[in-house]
Amino acid sequence: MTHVLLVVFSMTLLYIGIANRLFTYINILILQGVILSGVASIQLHDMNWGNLAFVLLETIIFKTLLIPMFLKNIIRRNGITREAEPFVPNFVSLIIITLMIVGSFLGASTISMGNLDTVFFAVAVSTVFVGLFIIISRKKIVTHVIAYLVIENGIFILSLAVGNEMPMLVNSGILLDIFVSILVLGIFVNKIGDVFKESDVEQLNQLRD
Amino acid sequence: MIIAYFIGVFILGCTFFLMRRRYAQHITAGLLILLQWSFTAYELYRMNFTGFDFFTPDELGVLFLVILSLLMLPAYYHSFLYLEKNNEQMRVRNIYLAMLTFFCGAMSGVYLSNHVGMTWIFIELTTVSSCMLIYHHRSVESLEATWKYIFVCSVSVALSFIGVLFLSIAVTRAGLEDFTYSVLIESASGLDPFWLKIGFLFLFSGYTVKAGLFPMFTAGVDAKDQAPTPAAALLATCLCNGGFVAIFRVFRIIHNNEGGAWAQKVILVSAVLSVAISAYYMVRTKGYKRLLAYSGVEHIGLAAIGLAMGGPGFFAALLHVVLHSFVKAALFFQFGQVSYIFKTVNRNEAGNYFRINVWGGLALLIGFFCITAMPPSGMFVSESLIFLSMIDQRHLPLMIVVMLLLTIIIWSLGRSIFGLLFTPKKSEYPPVKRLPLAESVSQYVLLALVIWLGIYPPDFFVRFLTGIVSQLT
Repeated sequence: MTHVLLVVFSMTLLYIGIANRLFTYINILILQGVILSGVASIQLHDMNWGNLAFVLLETIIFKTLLIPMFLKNIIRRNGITREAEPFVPNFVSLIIITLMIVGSFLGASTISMGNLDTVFFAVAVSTVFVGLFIIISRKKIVTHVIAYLVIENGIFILSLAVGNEMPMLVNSGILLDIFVSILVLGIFVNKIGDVFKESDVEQLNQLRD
Repeated sequence: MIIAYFIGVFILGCTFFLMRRRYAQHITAGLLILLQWSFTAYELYRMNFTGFDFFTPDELGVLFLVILSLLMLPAYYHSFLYLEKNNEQMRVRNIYLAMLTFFCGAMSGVYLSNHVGMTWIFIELTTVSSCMLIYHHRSVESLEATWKYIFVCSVSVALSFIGVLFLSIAVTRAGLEDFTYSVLIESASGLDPFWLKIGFLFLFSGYTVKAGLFPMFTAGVDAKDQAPTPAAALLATCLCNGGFVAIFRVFRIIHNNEGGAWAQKVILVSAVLSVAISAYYMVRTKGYKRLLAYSGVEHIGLAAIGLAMGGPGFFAALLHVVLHSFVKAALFFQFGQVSYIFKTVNRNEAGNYFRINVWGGLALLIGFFCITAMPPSGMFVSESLIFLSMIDQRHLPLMIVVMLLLTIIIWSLGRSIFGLLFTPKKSEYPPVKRLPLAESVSQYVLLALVIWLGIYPPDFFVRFLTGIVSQLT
């Protein structure tokens, strides 16, 4: 079951490559959050009650509700054009993302994983790479924040795969950090929206040598 | 105690938001420095006792904690001068001082944490707390620098978290429960080298954003350019030290494993590229603060070369980072005066500084000799030790390349700083009030410290450094 969900998750990555509108990006983020909460609840069923509740809280409340609402609010407030405006054509992004996913699956199957799940590992790694690709191939600053969240989703899958023994305190610290960094990123997107007419990365070229 | 310290820093930082009077800010800053120094003394006294599971004051952490505590006093002093001279509003002052306080607390956490995840959390906290320091001027340029800094830091810290996860794969495979550095170093030889290597690669490339090394150094340069000089001094010294400590701790694990030689190769590539890139940009750049920021990239790169060489290189790397902190802080404080007098830090506009401000000019001149590692400077000792260790490891061609790059760096630093000191760039400069000697005293003290520690190092200092190095071999 988790594998089915993970495959659906990697399909959302393909969808992000061809999406045109910013709100589609955010809806994909919501979908990814829902899938991740499903994967987490199946994967962590033998975890203790408190930890499980905490992880589900993180995925459902933060990933599917708060952060998407916050991002939509930012887009409305700054009157950002609804188009995503990529540097590369959608077709090329689709091919590159496909190659990334295929490459991670091939790479993961060559490494000796032991008790580590290959599908988890491959989907996580490909998600991180797709996030980095979206950052470098999109023009808008908001899409950079969205791509950062995609990378965070990839890291979340990886941490589920590892099933690490990090204590609760560290986990909550990490969650807090992600939340704070999104908040700070959001605040500065708003600032950039106030200062510049269009919030493109091309506006940010004052500092150079 | 460490929890009490963090709570104290948090409360003092928050009280800055409530202030309406200047003397109240001075008193609070005094209390903060008192807290920092008593905490440092306590940790020195209780060396190697684990407090609250995640924090251990080992030699490495305490060494850099002492440096932070020493630099905090001039940093706050110059911050008050800076805020006064720019006649900032009370609200802006409050935000600046509170964020500086949180930033210092977060850096102490980075130094002392003995848990891989804890280091990660505090590294992230330094990003969040430093953003308002960089955005202090509220200008278009500072907004750009802040955005780039936060974004690049967030992405690279996310990369280093992937490294933490890969490391935890290696740890769980070896059947370990604990994720603290001390346990990992002890049982490093039993860890799976493949996962340890991948973990190191991600952790290293993530933490380079703080240390200012090759892949991720760019954001830090913009940040140090735009932040007010006292904050930039801490960003360029203590935060770089934080990144260096984080890298050093992970390196200590992999060094005891069979992947150690591979990790040293990775560090060497990044270090040499850092020196090369900083040489290239130091020739090109027009701003003095950017010049200093690139010089930081160069010096941390040299220290990383020491790490990559091993043997006496470890000692040299630590000495180099320590001395670099004092020199770079002194230079940044001095450039605070420069930017106050000329209202710019552009190379083509500021000049004839020695005439305008004799004491400051003299400090700048001594600072130039210290940063370029000319003989009275302690950095001469550490740099020559690094080159000796390169000869030891039979890296002669590489050493010649690095020395050529250093020549370019010294040339461009000399061109800029001597141009600032002695060449009038304009026929007339707007008259300013003569700055008192008192504002340059901290720079003289820091530079004297560099010369003293390098030429005639006291016993306890050498014992400290050898204590850290002895755990590596």
